[in-house]
Amino acid sequence: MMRKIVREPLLHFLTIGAALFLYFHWSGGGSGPTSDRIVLTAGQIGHLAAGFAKTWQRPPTEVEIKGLIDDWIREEIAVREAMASGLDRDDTIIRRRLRQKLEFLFEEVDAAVPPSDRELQAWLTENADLYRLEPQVSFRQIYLSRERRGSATEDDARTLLARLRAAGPDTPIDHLGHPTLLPREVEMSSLAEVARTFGQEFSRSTEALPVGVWSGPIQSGFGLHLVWVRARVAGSLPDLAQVRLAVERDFTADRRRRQLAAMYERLLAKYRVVIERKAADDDGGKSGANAS
Amino acid sequence: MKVNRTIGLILAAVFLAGLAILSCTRPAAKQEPAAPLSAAPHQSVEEQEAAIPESPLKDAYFGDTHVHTSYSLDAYIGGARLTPDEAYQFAQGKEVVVNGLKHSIGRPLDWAAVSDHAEFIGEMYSTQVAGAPGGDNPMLEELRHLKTADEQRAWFGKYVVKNMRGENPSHPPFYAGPGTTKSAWQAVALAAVRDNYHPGKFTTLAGFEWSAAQNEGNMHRNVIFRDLTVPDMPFSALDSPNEEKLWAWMAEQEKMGSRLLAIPHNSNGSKGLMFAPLDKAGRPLSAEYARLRSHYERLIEMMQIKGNSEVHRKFWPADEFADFENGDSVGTFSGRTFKKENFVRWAVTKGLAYEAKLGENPYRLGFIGGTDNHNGLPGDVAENDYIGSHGPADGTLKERREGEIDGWIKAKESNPGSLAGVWATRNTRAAIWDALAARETFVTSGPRIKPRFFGGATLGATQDPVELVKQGYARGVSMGGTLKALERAPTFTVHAQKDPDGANLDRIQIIKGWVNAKGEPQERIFDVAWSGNRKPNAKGKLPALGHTVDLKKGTYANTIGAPELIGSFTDPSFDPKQPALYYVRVIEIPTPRWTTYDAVRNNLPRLKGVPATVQERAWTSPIWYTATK
Repeated sequence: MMRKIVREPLLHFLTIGAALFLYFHWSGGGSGPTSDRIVLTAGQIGHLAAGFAKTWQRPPTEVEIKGLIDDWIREEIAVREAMASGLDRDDTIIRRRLRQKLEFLFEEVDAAVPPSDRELQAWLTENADLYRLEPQVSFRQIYLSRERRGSATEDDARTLLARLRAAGPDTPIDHLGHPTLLPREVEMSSLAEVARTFGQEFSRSTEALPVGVWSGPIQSGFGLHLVWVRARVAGSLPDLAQVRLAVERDFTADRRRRQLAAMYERLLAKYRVVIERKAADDDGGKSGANAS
Repeated sequence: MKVNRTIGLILAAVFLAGLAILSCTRPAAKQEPAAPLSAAPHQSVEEQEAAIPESPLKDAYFGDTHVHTSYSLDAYIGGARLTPDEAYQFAQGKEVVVNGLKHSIGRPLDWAAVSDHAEFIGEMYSTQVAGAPGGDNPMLEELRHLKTADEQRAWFGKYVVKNMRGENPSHPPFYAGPGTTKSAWQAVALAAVRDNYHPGKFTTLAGFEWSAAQNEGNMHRNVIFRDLTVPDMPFSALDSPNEEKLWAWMAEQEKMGSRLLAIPHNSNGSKGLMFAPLDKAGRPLSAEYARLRSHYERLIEMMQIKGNSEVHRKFWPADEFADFENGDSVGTFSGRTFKKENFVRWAVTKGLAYEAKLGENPYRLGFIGGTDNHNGLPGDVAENDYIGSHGPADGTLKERREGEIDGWIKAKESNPGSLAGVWATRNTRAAIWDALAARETFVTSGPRIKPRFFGGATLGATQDPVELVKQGYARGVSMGGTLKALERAPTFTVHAQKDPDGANLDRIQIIKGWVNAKGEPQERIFDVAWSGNRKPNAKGKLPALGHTVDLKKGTYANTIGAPELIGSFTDPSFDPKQPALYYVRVIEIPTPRWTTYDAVRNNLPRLKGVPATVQERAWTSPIWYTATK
């Protein structure tokens, strides 16, 4: 139970929020935007100097530090005066930036919480189709080229099929059919892998073939094939361990979306939204607001 | 306000910590970092690679060496929002949303290298990663919200184009420093390469594009690494627009343990710069220049969205297949007038003259493919569901029919680009990259045609493709290889297998190149194997195959052509003292061009000024005959 609480992003968010609040309450005393005191701490000066050093690859001189401080004070004054005059209001860039920062802070907190095995397993179960393993098949095949035999190919195929059926499963096939770079033996492969070599049409046809019998002829983009399906594995849902990375990626992306929406939903409760349409059809509630 | 600043500090701290974890600079990068957050025990990448069986006769693996994502500034401006990670996901078959439409590759690729423009990846990091340094710059705020194509053009022109085409290109004013470039390279580009590598199934190669374009002439190169032993940031045209400086940087990387190569592209639009007779200092090419170029630039991208660079019908009127995706309007934008000396066939042949003079061939180029897709869609080459490649510039039916891809080409004259093929023993980074470095490569204009090509003094003709390949590897050299001095003509053996889901094959050709006493490129094209019972006429010309295309329905039938072709060739004019090169071109039967499919699907008249059908094709890397011991 405790683990679950520790993992809850909202809790992290609130904790950080509370920490920030306390920090400003205690440390900022009297130097906030509305005060007339401007305080620059040793730590902040150190930060300015570090910023300078990062850009110029050397520490600032005394004169330069003074310049940095003066500039910072100017900036602070400008910001306070501008905000006091309301210049920040209705500024699209500032609004977007604030929103971005808030959402990002939320996302960072969210990303810091690793999903639990149970959550991932639940996601996998719910979204099984996304991860389903394709059916697999292993087979032997003999190729007959229409280029080489023309209209006789079909008859050749049927004759050969009859011979093969009589000969049994372990007949050597290396010298049967026409020479080809297509593999005669295909180990257990997904249908997509079969299609990569033999084409879609052939790959689909193998699905209907019985196991342990010579079948055919089956058509591919290359010609005709006689096929002995050795074994088949039905499509299945993989174990979490097999697809963990993909599941984790998808789960976290989805959780981020859901929780961001939930955060807005919660925050929205604090507000009364009034939408004034042309006809002044204010319903006094939230029905017109889209928080996400 | 102070709250904001403090949050900023906290975010910055979180970020720096994150970056410190992610940064995989060279010494640490020897071993791939384990996938983050995963508690489940699993094999290391090395263990996975070691478990993949090797196929001695090699397999063809199809990929893309050239694709741009939201980390390329021009692509981002054009609306690309797919990241490198998502581009690799698309290549593996995952559905994505592009220009507001769901889109899927259909057939996954075997490998890919995302090649974002190195110049501005740092700026793109600031733009896209919330809280990143420089992200609050108002110019980037504008960038994030550009809406119309006009706004996009104006912004791009103002901050980028003038700058890049000047003498000393530099970062735009919204650059937040090299830290952002490193973050983009390590935390985005390399992380995507690392996370999407599945040995045996899908290979990712780390890469970037060095995008020098002085005076609008295209000198771009894609740089591709063998593994994750990589520098902590890429080299861009802002570091230097001089290719010799790029090679010097590559040499430094080699000393530090990296293995890398560069692939130039779009020589068709290079304004004579790609194969210029003078170096950047205005001196004739030196032996040292030729040596460096042949060492670092082992391949050239034959064809892409902005046209086919093999040949152009205007300069090769005798080549009946030279009229293919010529992208004529490339030659009318920005003064990029076409000339023969910009085309690949000319250049690889001219290389023989340099070799005779300098002892080194600067243009010993194998052939490779790529799309240059700017929507983040590697290998999206199917003609029959092409949705454009450059954001809104060709993202709607109307723009594809009437618009232009800014400053480069009329949209209707562009094409979906080409695929890169390699012959490798297995699908791992090392095997794929080694095939690239050995030039055992081929290109297709989209279909998954598999061409084989061997040369050797003792090869024999055969009708058995398995025998052909076994003999080829045992007693000859494959595409990309070199034959030393021989007393009599070598035998070349060829085989091509059609795309299992595509069109039949018309013919296999061998193209021979050599130079005359004045060092001028000469050539001859031989038909080596063809479908049906056609007979060459008295002049040796094979009759055309005809076609089965129904232009109204946008269909074709494989009732003509052959699913595979096999043959052998001995050069009747072989001269043991004459250096030469030979490469293979496989031609498909005619099929509808993407513009025809687009028109049929939308019930519109076919476009004028572009062919209704194309004969898709594959090209192999050359085999060189040096005439020397």
